[in-house]
Amino acid sequence: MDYINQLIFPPSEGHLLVARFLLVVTLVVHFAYIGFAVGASMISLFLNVVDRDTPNANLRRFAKYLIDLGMVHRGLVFFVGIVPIPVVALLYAQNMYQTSELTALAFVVALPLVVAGFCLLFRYKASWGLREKSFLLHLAPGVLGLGVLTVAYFIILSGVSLSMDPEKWPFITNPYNFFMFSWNNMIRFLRFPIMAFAVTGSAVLFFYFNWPEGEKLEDEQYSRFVRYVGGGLTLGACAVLPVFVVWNLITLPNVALSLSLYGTCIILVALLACAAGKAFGALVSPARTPGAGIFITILVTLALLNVADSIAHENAISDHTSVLLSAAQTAKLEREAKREAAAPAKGSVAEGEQVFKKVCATCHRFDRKVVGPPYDQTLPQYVGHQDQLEAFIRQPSKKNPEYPPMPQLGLRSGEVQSVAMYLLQTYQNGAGKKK
Amino acid sequence: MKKLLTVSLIYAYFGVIIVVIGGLRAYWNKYKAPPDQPINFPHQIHVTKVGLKCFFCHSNADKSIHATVPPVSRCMSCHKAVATDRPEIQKLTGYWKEKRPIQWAQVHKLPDFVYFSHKRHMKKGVACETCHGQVGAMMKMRRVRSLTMGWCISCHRLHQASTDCATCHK
Ligand code: HEC
Ligand code: HEC
Ligand code: HEC
Ligand code: HEC
Ligand code: HEC
Repeated sequence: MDYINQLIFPPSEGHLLVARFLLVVTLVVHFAYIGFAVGASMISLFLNVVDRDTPNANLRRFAKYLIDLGMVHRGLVFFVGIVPIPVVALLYAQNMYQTSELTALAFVVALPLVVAGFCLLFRYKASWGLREKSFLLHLAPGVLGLGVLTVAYFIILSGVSLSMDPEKWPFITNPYNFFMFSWNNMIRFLRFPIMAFAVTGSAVLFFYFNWPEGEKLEDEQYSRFVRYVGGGLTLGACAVLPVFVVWNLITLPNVALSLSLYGTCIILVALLACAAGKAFGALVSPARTPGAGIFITILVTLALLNVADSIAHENAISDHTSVLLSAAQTAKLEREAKREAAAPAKGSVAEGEQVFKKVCATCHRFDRKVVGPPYDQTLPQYVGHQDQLEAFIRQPSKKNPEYPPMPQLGLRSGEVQSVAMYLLQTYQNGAGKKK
Repeated sequence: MKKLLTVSLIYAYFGVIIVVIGGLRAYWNKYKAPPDQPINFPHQIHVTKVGLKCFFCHSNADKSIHATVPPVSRCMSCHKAVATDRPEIQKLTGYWKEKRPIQWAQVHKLPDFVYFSHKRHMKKGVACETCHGQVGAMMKMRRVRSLTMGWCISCHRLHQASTDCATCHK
């Protein structure tokens, strides 16, 4: 997978921050839509089949309404259903630069499946006229499309779970291992349809009752039906989701946990309570038209779910992120050093004295041992070899086992030259005086 | 009336879940979170900035079962003079003057019935990072591997090392 690594620069701090922000935003938008598309297709197909057994105009009408709403427009599906997948793949590759490309790979592998799934669902939507003639030809693309999307999201969600579990990365050496069973992966997969029902239920309540086509509301019996299905789905999903939130917290690897993750989950459950209360209200008070409140609450909950996942991911890779950042820092320093080398810095004894006082004097004196050995012992070998002294200061190596190793000082090359000049000059002057 | 009761029940359910998460949070913070150390020792500064090798401090890692945490005297070879104005270093000097060992909180601990040897793994050239993560980036030491049996065995399988029960359970 080297090509992904080559595509992506060693990230700088700003770079990573932007990548993370984009990742959360893209995932939220994508999962909000996908949740709705999958939920709407599932319920549409289900009601469609039920209607076949026990014909009921409401069921039929609602099944068509759902799929029309879910696959509302090809352009929209393209931009929120398909485009985010390669974008997210790139962002994960960026975040996990040089660790594991499995998560990014999962999104890439799932991409053609998602495209195929949507094509099939559009076919299902378009074949409504075929329903009476050949029910099977009408239903099959829908079922197949949903099946393909299910497989695609199993792969994607496995990849997302894996991004929070660095311990497993080295052991995934073939595609079969990728699907290694883990409870955490399982909950993320089972949570997906539940979240899809919540989004679908609340979206139906919102779109049906607030979309500017007032005439729909005239059919009171149908409106009541829509209200029950929408409210019921939302309430049910809100009631089940907290179990998954807790289960997720229990099964996440320890590295992915942090106090802020628990805090986010508490807010998340409080929001779910809020949405559940509202959905219950919509079910039991038929006089009031459901507004946008439930839908917005559910969307915010979904966003928080993604934020929680993202916090877990960042906890899991935080040490690696620091490594990346310091690599970027080093690369920047190297670039600066090259620029300096192109226009050689002139060291000065005065600057050398400053550096000595600020840095070296912590551990060294000329005439006595502090942490490091006295200069009067170590400098004689460098008289006339200033370049060797500079090389040692730049890249200290252990010389005398009686002392702790000298640290890397991170001086600029001009400073190294200055301090070497200062040390040799001071030493020779001092030596001269003693004689 | 019935409506009110149902609504209260719904909120009570979510309340219970929130209490459960609060409980999990407290449990994690007490038993699973990286422990606070008596001195905030930053690996990041010593490993990455100062450039010390792991073995300089954990000198038994390739010689014995235990890698062992260094004695205070090892710290004092530098900190007699380095950064003596910082409160953490003054604490360190306090331990040294009173000749008290520092009670570092244990981050990695296998159960007693498991036999694990650093030396064997060092001999095979398994890097510290494989099991302890990017220590050089940690301001506070934390455990990044589960240390479960499944983890040990997965790696042993990958490297064709022994997975016989008696290897680790003596
Ligand atoms: C300057 C000395 C020093 C150096 C260098 C050093 N360590 Fe440590 N290490 C310590 C001290 C002191 C502790 C105990 C305090 C703590 O856990 O933060 C410790 C703790 C640890 C622990 C946790 C022990 C436990 O309680 O389970 C691990 C693992 C560890 N070090 C690994 C490393 C690795 C890997 C490196 C090299 C990259 C390294 N150390 C370099 C001093 C050092
Ligand atoms: C194969 C995995 C593995 C590798 C490689 C490894 N460790 Fe460990 N380390 C462990 C385990 C497991 C424990 C817990 C041991 C126990 O509780 O008996 C541990 C514990 C420690 C401890 C604290 C307890 C003790 O044994 O004193 C330190 C310090 C430590 N490791 C440092 C290092 C350093 C430094 C290196 C690299 C030179 C290293 N480890 C390499 C797995 C590993
Ligand atoms: C090779 C020399 C060396 C050794 C050995 C060493 N340190 Fe340090 N330590 C340093 C340097 C250099 C710094 C950075 C000081 C600075 O920020 O200017 C430092 C910083 C620290 C700090 C952070 C101080 C602060 O608050 O900014 C602590 C705490 C510390 N060391 C503890 C220890 C302990 C505990 C040990 C023994 C396990 C130890 N050191 C061993 C060189 C050393
Ligand atoms: C990073 C991979 C890795 C991990 C993780 C790992 N080991 Fe090992 N282990 C090895 C390798 C490789 C050898 C083979 C060493 C040899 O052949 O000398 C080995 C050898 C051993 C041996 C000696 C085997 C013998 O033949 O005597 C023991 C005991 C052992 N490991 C215990 C553990 C335990 C316990 C854990 C989990 C806490 C663990 N190892 C985790 C890689 C690993
Ligand atoms: C590579 C090392 C390794 C090998 C091989 C190994 N184990 Fe373990 N085993 C461990 C470790 C480490 C633990 C501690 C796990 C923990 O603390 O969660 C453990 C724990 C256990 C436990 C206790 C579980 C518990 O929850 O307390 C049992 C029982 C056990 N092992 C049985 C076996 C049997 C049977 C085999 C042979 C098929 C075996 N082990 C082989 C490393 C090993």
